[in-house]
Amino acid sequence: MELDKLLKEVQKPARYVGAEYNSVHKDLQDVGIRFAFCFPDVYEVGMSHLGIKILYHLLNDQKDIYCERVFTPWIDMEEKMRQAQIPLFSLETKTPVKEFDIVGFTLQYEMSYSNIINMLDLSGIPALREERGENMPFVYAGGPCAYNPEPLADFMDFFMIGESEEQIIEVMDAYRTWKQSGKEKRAFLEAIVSIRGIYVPEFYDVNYKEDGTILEMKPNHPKAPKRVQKQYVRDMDNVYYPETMIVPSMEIIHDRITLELFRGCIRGCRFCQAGMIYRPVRERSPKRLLGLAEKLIDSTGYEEISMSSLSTSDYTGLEELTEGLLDLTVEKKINLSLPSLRIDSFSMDLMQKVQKVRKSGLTFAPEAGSQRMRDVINKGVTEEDLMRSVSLAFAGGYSGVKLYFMIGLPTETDEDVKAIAHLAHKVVQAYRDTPKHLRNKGLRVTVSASSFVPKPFTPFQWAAQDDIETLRDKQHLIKDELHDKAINYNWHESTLSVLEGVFARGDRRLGKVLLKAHELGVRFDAWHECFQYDLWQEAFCQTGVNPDFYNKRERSYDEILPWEIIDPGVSRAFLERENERAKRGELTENCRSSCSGCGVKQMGGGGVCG
Amino acid sequence: MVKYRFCYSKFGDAKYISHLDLIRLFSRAFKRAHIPLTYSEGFNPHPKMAIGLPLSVGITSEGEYVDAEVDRTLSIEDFENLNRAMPLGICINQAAELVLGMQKLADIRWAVYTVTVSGSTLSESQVKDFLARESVIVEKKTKRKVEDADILPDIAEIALLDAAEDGVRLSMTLSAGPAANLKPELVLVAMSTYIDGFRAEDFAIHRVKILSDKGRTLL
Repeated sequence: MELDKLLKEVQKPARYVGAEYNSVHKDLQDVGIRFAFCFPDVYEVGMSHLGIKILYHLLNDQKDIYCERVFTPWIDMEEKMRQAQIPLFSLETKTPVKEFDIVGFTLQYEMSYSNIINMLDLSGIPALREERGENMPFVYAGGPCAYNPEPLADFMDFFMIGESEEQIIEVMDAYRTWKQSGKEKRAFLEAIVSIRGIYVPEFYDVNYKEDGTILEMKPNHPKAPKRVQKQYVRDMDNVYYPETMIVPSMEIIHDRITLELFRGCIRGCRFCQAGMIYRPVRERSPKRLLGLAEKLIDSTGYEEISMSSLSTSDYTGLEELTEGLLDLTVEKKINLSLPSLRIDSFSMDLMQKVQKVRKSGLTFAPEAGSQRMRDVINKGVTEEDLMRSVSLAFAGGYSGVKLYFMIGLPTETDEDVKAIAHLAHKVVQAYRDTPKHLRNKGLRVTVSASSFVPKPFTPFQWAAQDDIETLRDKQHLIKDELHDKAINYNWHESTLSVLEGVFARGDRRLGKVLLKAHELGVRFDAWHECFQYDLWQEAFCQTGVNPDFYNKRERSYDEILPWEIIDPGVSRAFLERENERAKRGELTENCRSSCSGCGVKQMGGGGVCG
Repeated sequence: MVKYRFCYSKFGDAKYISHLDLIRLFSRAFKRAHIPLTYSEGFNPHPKMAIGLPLSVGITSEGEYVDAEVDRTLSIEDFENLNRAMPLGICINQAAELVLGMQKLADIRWAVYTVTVSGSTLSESQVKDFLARESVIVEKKTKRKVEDADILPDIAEIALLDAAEDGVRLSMTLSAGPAANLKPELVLVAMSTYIDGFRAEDFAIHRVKILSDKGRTLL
């Protein structure tokens, strides 16, 4: 009733109620482990994420585990909850988060970290691990950003590194045993530290040199491994995938069935963290995917199904899968939505079949404007490729084209930046060169330039990041070069990229900055209307931490990097080699043409590695 | 093609589902129940479905209407399947094939609500005096502007069902539908303004039924 009163006064109350179709409701009497799956953003964002769909149903398929969802309340709801002293609660049973056994956060982007601290605060759970004590739940984190766990080391009891479908069950088994034993919390951490992929930050000491770089990171517990190897799935056909998904009662960002085709990427773009940490490429078979699609369509009633992967054109079973999906979707009046594909005659044909109707827009990601720059980042795309693709698209009746670029890449010159504008003009020219009877009217070329953020475990992990002024200058350089009404130019706020850069490659010492920034009131940093850069500057200033140390410096190969406590499979030797090749503008072949010896095969391989 | 009218209730957490989200919710439920909805022709086909009267977020109801066109005649089993395919808090109570001469959704004229107010009380005579006023002027928000309006013509009846020291239950019959629509929340605001000592800060609203201009339910 108290909650009802609040919900009457907030925007989109459906965010907070959780009685959606296919949500799981269990009798608490039968439940032994209560698990709070926390997504540090609003409902519409969190519910669009594939990981939550997988783990929610996987955990709830275990009889004695009840996994419930928790999202960050939007600012209006947070204010009301604080006024009414209502602690953060789960959607399914409205239980305070504090009463759960395990509280797990998923780390999808660095700019959600302040929401994690805020959610713990709203729950009445001390954010700092050492202040939590024996009666508080275990708090842990996983997801792609956990590959550099260090900025959150002060807050988490442990991290799950890698893909956790298999490992999470092992951790739950260990929890069950520990709970029965009645031992203290530390005993649980000691029990799980030997499970692959588990990183327990308190079992490691970090010492620093005078210049602030790391002297050593070493285990202080006999059971803790020297480096924590990522966990990953070997057999994508036999690993758990949900046959049902929650169907939200309000509109969310990606409101459709997601079919995950494969993990990893054969391409090896040097800026791309996902392309490195999700190696090796492992595919699901078209047969398995079609079986899943049929079940998911039946159990959800969704009117749209989409294919998900890092690079769908590289899926070896694409033809078989799309033919099969088309049979299924046409009959059931369901839309098949295609991700951005590499444009060739096969994909044009495919798009004609799938999108019989509106030819709205196509997206291309050349990432860089000049050929030199594209070779540096190992984006194996030439200008001719792009021109051929856009010409095909224009001749096929598409009149809208989106082009995605990055600025601030290593070795980038003003000429490389200007080349972005020049390439956009060439795309316009390609449209004008297309015979009038083939092309559609109303050309729109959208150029989007985002700021490059160096990420851990990529060949660019040593690179200095451009500062705010440089990024702004580059953004304007493009703007000044563009002179065609058909081109629409977007760019992103660079202060956010700078902060993202600090946390992406940060270490344990950022914990106090995060805590201070939270005290000052930051939250929802990824939301333009909420981001308060001045508060972050204040937090750095008050804690005496210099953000420039993390992103303005080019690191040397001698330096121990904070995230190297994790072993993602790709070796340091490979990353150094790739970084050197980048400097020379040398391309590296994709995993199917030839093995570049990244190290994943030594870790156990699988998929494309055999 | 067969047209059906469904009468449904909306309660519990489902009361927070907005009007705009309902059509999508129903069309997904029909898909899950394997009931083939009829789609419109054209570039962007959509199910042929119409909801009788919007219900504000936060209000429960036991008498909402939705008309839908389906490709075949439905059986009792279909209705059972449909209810199983609904999210918690949405339940089909009644359904009938739409035949010529039946009232249309556009004929909706009145809605009956039960309003529970906690923390304040009322007497029969206070309600009577309120209804006997010459006019009841309140600020009414329309799509474009905020203006003073007399809502009295849109109140057919207010009856006191229960009255205690710490709360009352009222029945209200108010204008509803395309021509005129009065929200019970606004009546509470007016009553708080014009009735001495009455405060409606903590309340729950339930729609009991929707009536046509002939004063009948639509099924």
